[in-house]
Amino acid sequence: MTLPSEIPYGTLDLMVLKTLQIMGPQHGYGIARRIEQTARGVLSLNQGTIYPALLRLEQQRLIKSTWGTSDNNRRARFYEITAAGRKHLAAETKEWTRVVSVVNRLLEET
Amino acid sequence: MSGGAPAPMKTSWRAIGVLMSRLRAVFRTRRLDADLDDEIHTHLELLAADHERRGLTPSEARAAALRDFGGVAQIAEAYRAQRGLPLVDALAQDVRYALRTWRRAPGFAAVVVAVLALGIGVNSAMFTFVNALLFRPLPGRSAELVGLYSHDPTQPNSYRIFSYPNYADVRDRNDVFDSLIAYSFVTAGQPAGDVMRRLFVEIVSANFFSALGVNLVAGRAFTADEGKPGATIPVAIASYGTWQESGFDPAFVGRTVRINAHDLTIVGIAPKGFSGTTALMTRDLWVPLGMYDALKDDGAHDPATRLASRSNASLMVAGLLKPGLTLQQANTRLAALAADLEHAHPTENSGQVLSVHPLSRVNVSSAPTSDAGPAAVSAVMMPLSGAVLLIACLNIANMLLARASVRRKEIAIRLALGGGRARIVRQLLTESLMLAAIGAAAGLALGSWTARFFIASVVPLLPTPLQLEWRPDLNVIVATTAFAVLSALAFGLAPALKISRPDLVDDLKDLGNVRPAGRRFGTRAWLVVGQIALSLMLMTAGGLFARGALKAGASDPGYRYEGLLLASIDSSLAGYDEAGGRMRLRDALDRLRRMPGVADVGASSQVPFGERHESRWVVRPGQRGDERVMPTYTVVTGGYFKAVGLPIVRGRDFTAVEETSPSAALVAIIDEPLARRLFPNQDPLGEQLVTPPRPGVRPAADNEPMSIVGIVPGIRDWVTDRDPAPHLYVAAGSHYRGVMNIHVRTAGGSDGELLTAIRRQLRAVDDRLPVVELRTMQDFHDRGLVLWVIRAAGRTLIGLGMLALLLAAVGVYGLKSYVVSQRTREIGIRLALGARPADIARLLFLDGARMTMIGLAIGFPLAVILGRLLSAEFFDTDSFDPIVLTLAPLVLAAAAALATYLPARRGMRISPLDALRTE
Repeated sequence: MTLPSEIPYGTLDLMVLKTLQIMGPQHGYGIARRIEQTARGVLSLNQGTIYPALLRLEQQRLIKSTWGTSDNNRRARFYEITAAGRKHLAAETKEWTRVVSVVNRLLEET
Repeated sequence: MSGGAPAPMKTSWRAIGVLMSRLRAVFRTRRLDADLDDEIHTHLELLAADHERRGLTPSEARAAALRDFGGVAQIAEAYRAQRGLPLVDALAQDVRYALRTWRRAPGFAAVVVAVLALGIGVNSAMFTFVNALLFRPLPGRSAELVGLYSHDPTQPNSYRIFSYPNYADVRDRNDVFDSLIAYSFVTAGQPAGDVMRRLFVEIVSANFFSALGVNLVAGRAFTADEGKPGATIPVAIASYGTWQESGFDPAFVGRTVRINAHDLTIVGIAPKGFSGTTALMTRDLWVPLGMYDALKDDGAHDPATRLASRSNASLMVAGLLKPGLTLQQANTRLAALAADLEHAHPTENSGQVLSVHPLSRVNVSSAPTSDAGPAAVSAVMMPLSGAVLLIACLNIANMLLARASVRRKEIAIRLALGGGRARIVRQLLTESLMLAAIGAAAGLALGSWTARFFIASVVPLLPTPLQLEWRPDLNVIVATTAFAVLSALAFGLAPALKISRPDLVDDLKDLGNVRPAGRRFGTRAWLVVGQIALSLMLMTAGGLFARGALKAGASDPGYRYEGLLLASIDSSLAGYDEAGGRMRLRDALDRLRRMPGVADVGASSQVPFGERHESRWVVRPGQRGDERVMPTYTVVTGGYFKAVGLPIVRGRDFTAVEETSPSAALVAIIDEPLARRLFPNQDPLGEQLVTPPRPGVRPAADNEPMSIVGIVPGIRDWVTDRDPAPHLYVAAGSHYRGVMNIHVRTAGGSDGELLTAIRRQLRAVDDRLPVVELRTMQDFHDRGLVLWVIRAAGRTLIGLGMLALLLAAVGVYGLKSYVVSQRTREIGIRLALGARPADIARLLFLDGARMTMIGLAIGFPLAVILGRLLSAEFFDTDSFDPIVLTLAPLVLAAAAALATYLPARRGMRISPLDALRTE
C-alpha cells in the first residue's frame, strides 16, 4: 500500500473541475469530501487546500461562484463549472491520458 | 501536471484575466477577507457536523475538523497570495503602518515635511528656470533649426550674417534645406502717452511661421509679396501676450498699431508661448521683411543699407535640413553653392564659406554660439540649491536616527519574531518615501509659487522686454519627483540600514540607549559636521556675490555720476531722416545749454553700462590686418567730454565745425587704453586711423582715414569689466546716429526739477520727438540689466546661504539636545559626585565646539574653491575677499555656538536626583 503522497497542484485543479462536472454546483466542503472519498487513502488532502485552487480556477474563468445557503443554514459559496471549464477539462483529460500512455509504454520497454 | 500546449492566445488572455482579478482584489481586501472567513467557517462547521454524526463529542468533532482542514492561517495566507498582488499588498501594508507611526508623532512628521518642502521647493524653483533656459522644447520645429553662417576662413572672427539677395540665392538654389528662414531684430517705439514704449520687433521672411510649423491662433501669416524687400506693406503679426494685454479683444486682428511713425495693421496672432527661435526672450510683434527698410531706417538713406542691397549683411538665416542629412553632408554640399555665389558676385562674396551649426537657444549672433554659457550657469546654480537639499536631508537623517532610538524596542521585537531585515528596511524606506512624496508635493507648490512670485516682481523692473513665463511643465514635475526619491534615499537609507541592525538583546532590555563612553563622535555628529561644511560653502558663495553686487552697484564707468542727467532721444523712431534728426538734435542741445542750472551739455551715441553697444575694427593705415583692435565706437558732439567730466589729457576736443558739418575732415579722439595698444611708443596726436570696411561691403565715407586730435582717459563699458576698454570717438558732424544720449551736467539745483524742465524743452523742440530715457545717470545705472542680474544672483545665493545656515543651526541644536537627554544619567552622576554645573556646561559646550571646528575646517577650503569657481565663471571679483571669508565662518560659528549653548544650559540645570532616576 503506497503511502499517502501530496497532491501536485495542477492535478488538484483538474480533480475539482471533474468533480464539479459530475456533481453540478457544489460548495467547497462538498467538493473536498467527494475528492477525499475518491482518493481514499491513496492521496492525502488537507481539505483547506481546495480554496486556493478554487480561487485559481475562478480567476481563470473556468468556474464561477454564487452565494447561497448550505445545509446547515450558513452562508456558503456554490461553485459551478463554465463552458470554458468544460472545454479545458476535456482537453486536459485527453492530454493526461496521452502522457500516461506514453509513460506506460516507456516503462514497459525492457 | 497539465502538459500539452493550449493555444498561446488563450493562455495569454487567461493570464490577463487573472491579473485583472488580482488587481481588483487589491481594492476589496476587507470584503474579500470577510467572505473567505465565512466560507471557511461554513466548511469547518459541516466537517464538525460530520464527525459528530460519527459519534464524536462536539469539542472532539471541532478538533477533528480543524485537523482535516489543515492549518487555517496557512490556507488563508496561500489564498491571499493567490488573490492579490503580493507586492502591492506588502506596500499597502507598509503605507498603513507608516501612517499609524506618523500619527503617533505628528509634530515630528510635520517638521520633516516642512524641511523637505523647503529643500525640494528651492530645487524645483531653480530647475524651473534651468528648464526654461535649456530644456523646455521650443515650439513648433524651432528645436530642429540649424543656423547658416558665412565667414572667410582666412580672416579671424569674420563670421557675418546675410544680405537679402544672398539669402534669396541660397534659399532658391540649395539642395540642403527643406526650408530656409531669415530674421532680424529691431527695437521700435510705440507711443504710449508721454513717452515712447519700446517694443521688441522681429522682422521675418514670409515662410517664417509655416517653416517652424507654428499655427497662428487667428488671422494669417505673411504673404510672399509682403516679404519682398522694399515692399513696405504695413502689416504685422502680434504675439499672444499683446493680445492678452488688450483683454483678448475679439477685433484684434485688423487693428492698427503705430510703430516708429508707421501704422501697421495686425493680420494675425501668434500662439501662446511662441517666442520665436530663442528661449526666454519673446517678441512683441513680427513684421515682414518688406518693412525692414521702413523700420531700420536710421534716417541715413544710404542705398547700401537697404535690404535689397547685396552688401547689407543684416539677416540671420536658419533652416530645417532635409531629412536624413547630417551637418557634415550639408556643409559639403554648401561648399559648391558658396563657390557659385563667390563667382557670381565677387565683390560681396569673395572668400566666403557657408557652414551650418546647431542654433543656440539663447543667443542671437552672427557667429555660431553654443548654449555653453547658460549651461555653465545652470551647472553652477543647480548644485548650489542641491547643496541646500543635501543639508536638509542630513538634518532629516539625523532626526530619523534620533527617533529610531525610540523605536528600537519595536524593531527588535519584529526582528526577533522572524521578520527579515529586508522587510524592515523596506518598511522604513517606505516611510521615508512617503514623507518625501508629501514634502515633494508641498515643495512643488512652493517652488512654483516662488517662481511665479519672482517673475511677477521682476519683469516690470526689467529694462528690456524679456518674457519670463511660468508654465506647468512635465520636466519640472519629473525633476521634482526625482529630487524626492533621491532625498528619500539620502536621508532614509542609512538610518534604515543602521536601525535594522540593532543589538537585539540590549534593545529588548531597553539598554540600547547607553553609549559606550569612548565613542563620542558617532554617525550623527558626522552628519552635522557635513551640514556645517555645506552651509559654509553656500554662505561664502552668497557673500562673495553680494559683495560683488555691492561693488558693481557703487561703481561708475570712470566718471562721476553725481549731478549728471541723461535724456535719450531716438529720431529714427519718429521716422525723421538725417537732416530732420540733426536739426532736432542741434535744437535740443541749444535749448538745454541755455537752461539755468545747467553747466555742460553733450551727446553721445552710446552710454557705458547701457544695452546698446557699438564697436568697430580700427587699424593704422598700412598696418597688417591682424594688428587691428576693436574699440568701442562712439559718435559724440562737442561738450560731451566736459559734461561727463572726462578731461582732455592731450590735444583738443572737437570743434563746432567738426561737430555739425558733414564735410569737415575726418577726425577722431582716442582714449588712453587705445593709445597704448596702437601707439605704444609714440605720440598718437596727428597720426591716422582707419576703420576698414567689412568684408564684402563696399567702402563708404566713414572708411576714410581719420586724424587723431585728442586723447581722453579710459572708461569701462560693462559693469562686469575690471579694466577700461579702448574707445574711439568720432565727431557728430561726419557721422549720424538716430539715437543720441544727451548728458547734462548740472550746477546745483534739484535733479527732479531739472528733469521736468528738460522734458519741457525737448517737447518744445518737437512734440513728437521720441524721448526714450529721461532720468539721472545714477538711476540709469541702477536699472541696468547686467547689474540687475548680478544683484538677483547675489540675493538668491544669500537666500540659499541663510536657509543653509538655519538648517545647520537646527541640526546642531537637535543633535546637542539629543546628546544632553541621552547623557542625563551620566550628567546626574557627575553632578552627584561633585562636578559644578559650569563644568558640565563647559563639557557639553566643548563637545559641540569641536564638531563645529571640524565642520568649518572641512568647509573652509571647499568654500574657497567654490568662490574661485564662481568668480571665474561670472566676473573678475576678488575671490579671496577677506571680509566674506572671515565673516561667513564667524557667523556660522556663532550660530552653532548658540545652538550648542541652549541645550548645554539645560544640561547645567539638571537636578542630579531626577537624572539618576531617569532610565
